[in-house]
Amino acid sequence: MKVVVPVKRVIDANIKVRVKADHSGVELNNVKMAMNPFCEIAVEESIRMKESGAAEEIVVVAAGPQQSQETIRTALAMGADRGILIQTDVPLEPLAVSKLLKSVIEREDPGLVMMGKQAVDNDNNQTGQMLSAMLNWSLGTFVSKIEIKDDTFEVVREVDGGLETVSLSKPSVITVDLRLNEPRYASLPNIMKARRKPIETLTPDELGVDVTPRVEVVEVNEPPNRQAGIKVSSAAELIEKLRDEAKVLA
Amino acid sequence: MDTHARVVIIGGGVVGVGTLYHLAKKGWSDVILCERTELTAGSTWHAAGLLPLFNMSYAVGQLHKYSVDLYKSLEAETGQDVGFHVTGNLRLARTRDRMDEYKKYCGTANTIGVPFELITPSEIKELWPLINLDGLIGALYHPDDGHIAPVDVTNAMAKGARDRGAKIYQQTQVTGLTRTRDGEWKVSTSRGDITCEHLVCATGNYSQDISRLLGINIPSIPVQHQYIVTDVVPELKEYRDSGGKELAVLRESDASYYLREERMGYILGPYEVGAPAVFADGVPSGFEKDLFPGDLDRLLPHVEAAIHRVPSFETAGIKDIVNGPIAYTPDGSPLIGPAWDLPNVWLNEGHSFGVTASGGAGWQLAEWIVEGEPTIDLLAVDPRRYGDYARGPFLVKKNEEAYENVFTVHYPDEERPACRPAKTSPIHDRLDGMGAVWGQRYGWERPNWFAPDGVEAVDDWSFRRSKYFEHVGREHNNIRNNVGIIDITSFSKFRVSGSGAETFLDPLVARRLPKAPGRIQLCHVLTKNGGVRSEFTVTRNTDGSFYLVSSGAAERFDLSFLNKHRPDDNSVQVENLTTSHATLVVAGPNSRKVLQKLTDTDLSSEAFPWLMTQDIYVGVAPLRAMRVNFVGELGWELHHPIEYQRHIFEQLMDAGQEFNIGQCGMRAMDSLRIEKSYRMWGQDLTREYTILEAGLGIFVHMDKGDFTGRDALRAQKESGVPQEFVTVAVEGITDADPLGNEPLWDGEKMIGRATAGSYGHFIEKSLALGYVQTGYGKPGTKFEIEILGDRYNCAVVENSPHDPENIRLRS
Repeated sequence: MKVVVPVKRVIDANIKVRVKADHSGVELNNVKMAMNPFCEIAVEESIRMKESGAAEEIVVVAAGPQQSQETIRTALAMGADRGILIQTDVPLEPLAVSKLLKSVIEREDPGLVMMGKQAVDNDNNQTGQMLSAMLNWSLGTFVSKIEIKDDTFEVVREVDGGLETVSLSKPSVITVDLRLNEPRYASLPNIMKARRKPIETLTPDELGVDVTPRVEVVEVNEPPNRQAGIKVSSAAELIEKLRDEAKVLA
Repeated sequence: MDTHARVVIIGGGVVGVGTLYHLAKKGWSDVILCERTELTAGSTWHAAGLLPLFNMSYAVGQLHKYSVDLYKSLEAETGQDVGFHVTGNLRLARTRDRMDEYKKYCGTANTIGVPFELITPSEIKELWPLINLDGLIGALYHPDDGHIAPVDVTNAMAKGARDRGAKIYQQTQVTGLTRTRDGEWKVSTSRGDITCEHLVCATGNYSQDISRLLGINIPSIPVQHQYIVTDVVPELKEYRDSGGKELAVLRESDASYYLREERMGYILGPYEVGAPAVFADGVPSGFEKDLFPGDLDRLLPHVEAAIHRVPSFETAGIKDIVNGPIAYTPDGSPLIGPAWDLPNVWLNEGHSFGVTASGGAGWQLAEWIVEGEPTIDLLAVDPRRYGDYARGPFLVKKNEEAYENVFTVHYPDEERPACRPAKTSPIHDRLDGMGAVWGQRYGWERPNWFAPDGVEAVDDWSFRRSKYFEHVGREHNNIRNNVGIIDITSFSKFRVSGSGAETFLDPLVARRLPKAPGRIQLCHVLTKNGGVRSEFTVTRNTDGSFYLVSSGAAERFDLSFLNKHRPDDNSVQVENLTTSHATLVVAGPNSRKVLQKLTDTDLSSEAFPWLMTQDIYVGVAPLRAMRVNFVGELGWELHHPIEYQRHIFEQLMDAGQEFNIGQCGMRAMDSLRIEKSYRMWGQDLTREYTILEAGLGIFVHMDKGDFTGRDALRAQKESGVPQEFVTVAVEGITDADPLGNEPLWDGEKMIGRATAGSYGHFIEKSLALGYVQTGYGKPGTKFEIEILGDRYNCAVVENSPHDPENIRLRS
């Protein structure tokens, strides 16, 4: 089985995100970037599949600027086999990404597309769903456990209020959740080996996909600063304030 | 927010907070620190937290030692855990030169009281079981240092400062600095104005931004430094789980990296070649508590070396590559002390090892601000050790060079190539054609020695006698036996004039100013404690003005001092002649014969005695001939307008041809002066020793009226000096000589330290100058000197072992 794993380059999750002075977006200059943590989980799971013999080849796909290549290299260092970069400087929306992925997946013909449930930069949580619809493939979202059967993937989904086990007929799109696994860190020799692994570069034009944004960003603002707290002197005062000021108690 | 304070500190990193803490500790509670965002947000937060005691510098070594001692007591004092892991620190050696460097350092460590051990490979393995010993010949081990949590140590000092009344304003960006009419500083901030008496800049990465606000160029800009953080390493975890103690911080100097434990994994930090300087034009807006992308290519050679040395590193998962800006200066040492040209502005900038230095730097700077003087000789970190040249491209190239040389062997005679030549005298190319091997000091190119025909003009650095030893010896003896020329254009030269010149200069120096026109005298500016701040060769000119000459490295240090004390009523003018006047020395027994061929002025001792100046002509060139020199022979310093230098030089060469006149470089000048026990400012004469201890009482006139340091000297005259200056001859050493910072031992008792040393090529003795406890100073007294780890017998010789009666000087 071939597995395609789409990955996204985002601002490092440990970095404080700042809004640009002109409010047109967030500051990306001089900012440390990294692979979206949910994508890392998908990469890790694919490598475990390969280590167990369930997968033969892992192809990592990223869409975005030239530097997205670094994100692909990170996945290659972890253990993926080759990469495809769909290079564009246009800000990509989930629909455009889904179309790009669809076109690559039709070419690659994998048995499984495994990806993060969402990216931590925009929190859209849309690409996996759109992609499965366009491919007309089965879909499992928020997955925290995967079992590979002959014709199906049996996956556990993290849903509100509990866990749901569903069976997906192959081929499938699976979007993964936090508790699926703990991704490994690449060792330096593997980081070095990853530099020699192939990365193919394509463009949206070559794939015949129009990626022009459909959503106009009017303004981006930081959330309001948290106000300083106050100290209360007694439990009674606390209850009074929760009731009269915070209005969280009746 | 308060609108007035005694001191405002700009910058809330570990260095600024360390300064605040020590000011408060000294009792100045009316002090404010302004931080543009939050404490530690610049470089402190991403520092690796190492506390290396190792430092080749006597000054910086003392600061680091103080810090380590302080940090051990901070938790008890403030209740804030600082995460101090006393793991010890192991510096590996692969080569003899590296071991020599450690042994040289050990001498310094002994003189400042830092405990250490030199250990063998098998002892390394005991301390560091996970190591591969391949290629190692030994190591230097510090049991007392380790690593610390940088943010926590900052917070602990912040708490200690606040507890004593100091205030810290975060989210307070300084936007302007102006002088008020009352002579105070107005600090404009994003939250209002604060006026203050003293201003301290501890801005780290922001030094160029603050430079713009101040209107000076602070010689510091950051360089990118990377370190790698690994995931849990199974081999390490197994070792620790089975009861192994935390591994010592490992430094493989010959592969230029440090490695320490972090949460059962490793942190690996190399000092790579090619790391770029950043923020040369200030920190770009938008760069906040940020990092740069990692650059693996730069890391690779070091990573390979680390994998070879610590095999478990190979399979370790790489959690993170931290690449952040760290302040650097051209020589890698920080800038601690007063700024120049701006009253009451203090710098605590350029810290590449800020976590280690903060305690000591804050302590000494606070002492300087509160008490007027630091106790440690801080010349090596004084901000005024650089001049105007230290800006822009010079900083970029030199700081990158300093960064990549953090772990190279620090030879005592090392000369680094970046940004050269910067300043040259007019005969630079002529000297170059004569085989000059160049060094750089204060931006100036100076010949260190001259390679004769057939010898490659390439330096050969060593802790021992180098390949150039014999050539320096020949230059040395040519001055003693014949005649040689020395280009000392780089020396600082000032003219002090005006109706108030004499009353201005007199109280600054410890002896009476020369009375007769043309008379030359060596005069010292003392510290309050009687130590030596500056040394000037002072000549009284016929028009009543004074001509002052001091060390080339002291240009800004001395000029800013003169200007600071100059009355502001226009009665005194201070003119800097350093770059408009050049100086050639012609010295040696035949120097009179050479010079007399070129001038009608009678050069006989009757007409032109020692320590006199006359204006003469050589060819068409007008010059000031001063019968004085630093090599202790008959000779003249010829000071002249710089445009005539070549003309004068060619005439000296022509006239000297029949005598086989030679050139003499800086290294021979040093060995020559040591044979004469001439104390070098900044090396033998520092603020740590009084001028009486330095044995220069004849240069002090206690009855001349008040001068700085007089009270301290008077008290010391009554109680007696605790230490005395000696010249010692070392016995039985054949491949090395003292260089300074060697401990002097009487059995197991350290009785003093050498401050300089060299081979005396004329008297054929290995010599050291230094200070010993009173009682050990009599000629003939025997003790031991530690040179590169070995002890040698040595004996005190008389002051000026060459020509003690100055007969040749006066001849």
